[in-house]
Amino acid sequence: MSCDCSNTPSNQPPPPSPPSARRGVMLKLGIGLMGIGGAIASIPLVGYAITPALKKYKNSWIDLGGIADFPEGETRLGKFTNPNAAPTDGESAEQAVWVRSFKPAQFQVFAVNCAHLGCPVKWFQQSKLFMCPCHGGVYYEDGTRASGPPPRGLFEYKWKIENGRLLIDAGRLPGLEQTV
Amino acid sequence: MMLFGVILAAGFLGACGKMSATDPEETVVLTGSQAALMNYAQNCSACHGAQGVNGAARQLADANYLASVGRQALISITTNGVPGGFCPGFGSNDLVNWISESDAKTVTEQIDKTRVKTVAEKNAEQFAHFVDGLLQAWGKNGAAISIPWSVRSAPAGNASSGQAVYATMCQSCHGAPGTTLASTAGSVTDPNYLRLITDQGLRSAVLFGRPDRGMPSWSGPFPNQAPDRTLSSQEISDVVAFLRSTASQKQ
Amino acid sequence: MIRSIQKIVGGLLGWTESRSGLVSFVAPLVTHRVPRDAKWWYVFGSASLMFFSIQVVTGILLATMYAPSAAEAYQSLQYIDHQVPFGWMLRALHAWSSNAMILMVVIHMSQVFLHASFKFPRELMWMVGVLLLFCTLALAFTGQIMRWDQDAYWGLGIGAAIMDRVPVIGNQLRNVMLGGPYIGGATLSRFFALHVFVLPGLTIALIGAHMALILKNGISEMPKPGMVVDPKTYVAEYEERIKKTGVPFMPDAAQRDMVFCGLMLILVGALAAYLGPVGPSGVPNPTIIDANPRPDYAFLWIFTALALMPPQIETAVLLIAPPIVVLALLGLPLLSNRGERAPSRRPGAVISYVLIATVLGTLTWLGVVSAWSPVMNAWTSLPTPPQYLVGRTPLEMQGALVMQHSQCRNCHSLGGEGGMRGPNLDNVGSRKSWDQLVRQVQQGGGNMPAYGKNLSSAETTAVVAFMTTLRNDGAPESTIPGAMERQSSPDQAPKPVLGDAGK
Repeated sequence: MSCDCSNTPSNQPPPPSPPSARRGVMLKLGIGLMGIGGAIASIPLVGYAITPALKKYKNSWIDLGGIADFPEGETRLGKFTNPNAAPTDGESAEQAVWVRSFKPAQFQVFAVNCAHLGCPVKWFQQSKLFMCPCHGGVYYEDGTRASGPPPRGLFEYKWKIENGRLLIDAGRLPGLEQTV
Repeated sequence: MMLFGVILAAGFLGACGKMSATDPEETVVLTGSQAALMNYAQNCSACHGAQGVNGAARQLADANYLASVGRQALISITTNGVPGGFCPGFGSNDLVNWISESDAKTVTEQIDKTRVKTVAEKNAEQFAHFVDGLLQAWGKNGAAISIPWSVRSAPAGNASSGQAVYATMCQSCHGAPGTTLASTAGSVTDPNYLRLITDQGLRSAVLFGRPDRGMPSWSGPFPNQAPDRTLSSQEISDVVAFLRSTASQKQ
Repeated sequence: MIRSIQKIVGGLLGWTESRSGLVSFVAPLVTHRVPRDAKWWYVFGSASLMFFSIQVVTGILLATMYAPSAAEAYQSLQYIDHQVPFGWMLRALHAWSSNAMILMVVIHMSQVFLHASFKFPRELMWMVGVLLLFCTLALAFTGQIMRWDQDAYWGLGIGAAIMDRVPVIGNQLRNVMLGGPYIGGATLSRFFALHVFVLPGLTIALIGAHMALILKNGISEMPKPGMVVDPKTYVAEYEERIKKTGVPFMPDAAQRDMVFCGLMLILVGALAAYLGPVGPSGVPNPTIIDANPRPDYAFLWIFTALALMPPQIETAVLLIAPPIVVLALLGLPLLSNRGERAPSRRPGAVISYVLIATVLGTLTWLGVVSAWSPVMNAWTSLPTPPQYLVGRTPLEMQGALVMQHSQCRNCHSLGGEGGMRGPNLDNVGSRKSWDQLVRQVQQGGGNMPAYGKNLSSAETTAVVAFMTTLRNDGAPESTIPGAMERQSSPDQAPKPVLGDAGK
């Protein structure tokens, strides 16, 4: 085995891998590319998830019915379909409001959602009170708080009359942002 | 431990026995009168009493009363309430909690089915069923009386003749006008009472009485009177006119 | 023949083992040594895991039938309950096993707290456990939404209203939670994704971490008074003791786990078969205002707290309390990671536990009763007790009608029936005078609305006259100022009758 072996395959281990500096560069490049790619991909993903926070949801004027449907001196349930409704909403797109007519062509339109934590309040014509089934909030006929935990009166919708129809400005779940 | 095992085994066998929750033994078939009585319990019993008697308001389990007032008026009262009285009408309500008689369906399904019927004509149908059921339950062998029950078809009353009728027929229990007897039926000339009751309410009270509370109807028998002494339509109008003359109606 | 089968099977197993290393990987896990005294106290963690597995299996099966769309979810549940063979049982198992899982998690956590097993070196196990508790509760809450009934709809409404209380960004948070400006299809889809993908995935990952930490740190021993935890020496001492007196997990501890889990499984299965599925309640149509929303048991205490908190501090408590609770639970082992473990030497911990358990238990019970809620149909469905009408005057009878008609009994009970929000009226006549009753009815007060504008003076007089007859002390009834008095002598002369005739 004492020949000139320069042309034969060597038994010695392969030369050491490239210096670690190059591997470090590759690693950094990998992390960088992954980061850039991830950032680009996550823009639409995050955007999709938090759209509801960024989008300005508009209310629109919704026809509740003829003003004759809401006789003076009574408080009646008005129903409409949410103008923001999506195809998969089913019955949850149906919405209700309490309409109080206290003078000719003078209305108060209340959210059915209790100002405490949003449960549906029920109107009692006889005692002229709204009562909430969840935590016992009670309101007078004009929507002011009568007793119980609500921090304020019932939420009210803006309304107007056009061609003998009662329209309200609705579409969003009523909340503290809509202070009256 | 044995007992525990037996109970568990029974539970599982029972479970395996029913493939779905709508097996025949779980379905409820309601007759018209059963459904009506359930609706009555939910919506009327508070004032008219648990079994249609002994309530604060008119006794409804009274075949003669039901027969005299008649199906149409009963439907109208259920729908619109009693004008000027405390009885509210249920016509504008969502009849979510009203139960209707129907073919073999579970109670839950019936409620779901009923809920869809929120339009006025469905309500009307529901109320007609209700009144028919009530008539079936409490109106058997009822005879309509010959005297008109409604103030609209009653003769005009005369207060001073009414005062005489009151003195002979009513005073022994209800006391002289302006007084109340402690031991008997209480004053009907109390101005606050008269403010709360309509002429129709007074006429019905005299005409039909309160059999459940011992108050005689128009046909008597009245205390200290001949057993065949009855009140005529005119006499009832007169006594109502007299009572009304002592205090005005509400509103 | 038998020998050759044995040979084939043995060969197959050997082949698999040589390529997978499964046995050599799993064997140390199942035979790791656990303290000898780890007896029945230690079965609750395993039971929690078992119920989670039941949830995964039943959940996957339910997902094959459930339609996660707001338009169809309710109907698909009806279909599963009534049409699909054993569908109702599947829903029942999923619901009751979920309750059982919460119960087991709570008992497991109680045991760990009372035995102070969270101390060194098991702090991280406790923290992962706390996260698992929140995952369990989040699964329970989102699961309740899956029913898509009235409870779900208005429960979301409550959640939305709480979010709305956050200053400045409340409305945005609420919209993110609901997937839009109102509760609808997008809301159900969001909660479906959470309930079915996100939360179970997170839970499985956390369970993995919890288990890995068990293997790393070992199961704690039963606490003994005087045996203090010192981070410097604990690990060596523990390993020494385990080597000497420990027993293999399989079968010594596992057999107890299996007996307990088996019993619990049979019990929950029987319960599910007997009680049936939970919900759905009414259809989730927001125009049906006759709803009476109630959360599931695990959240009733929150429901109660929201009813009883004074309105002035409510928003502050809603915003501040949750982070404090989370931080306190997570930080507990960091605050106290050494020293005595025995409950007898940790009176403060035991007292806090009893206190917290009592408060939560009481709040839950109050939530079941929910005395603060008006009984919405009391006024039409609860008869005036007949004995209260015997011998009453026509005016008092009208007063009884006014009481029913004005919905008094939605909040006040009579004869044990009616609302519990206000005081019961059975003997209100002996508690209050005529004048006090009139004032209370007209002006309200003490959390009662004022009825002054809604009742005529005749109605007020009538209802007060009726109330004065409601008494248990046998004392003479209050006289009615300005009205006719009950006369004791029947022979009083009639007064002249004056009045506006026949209006």
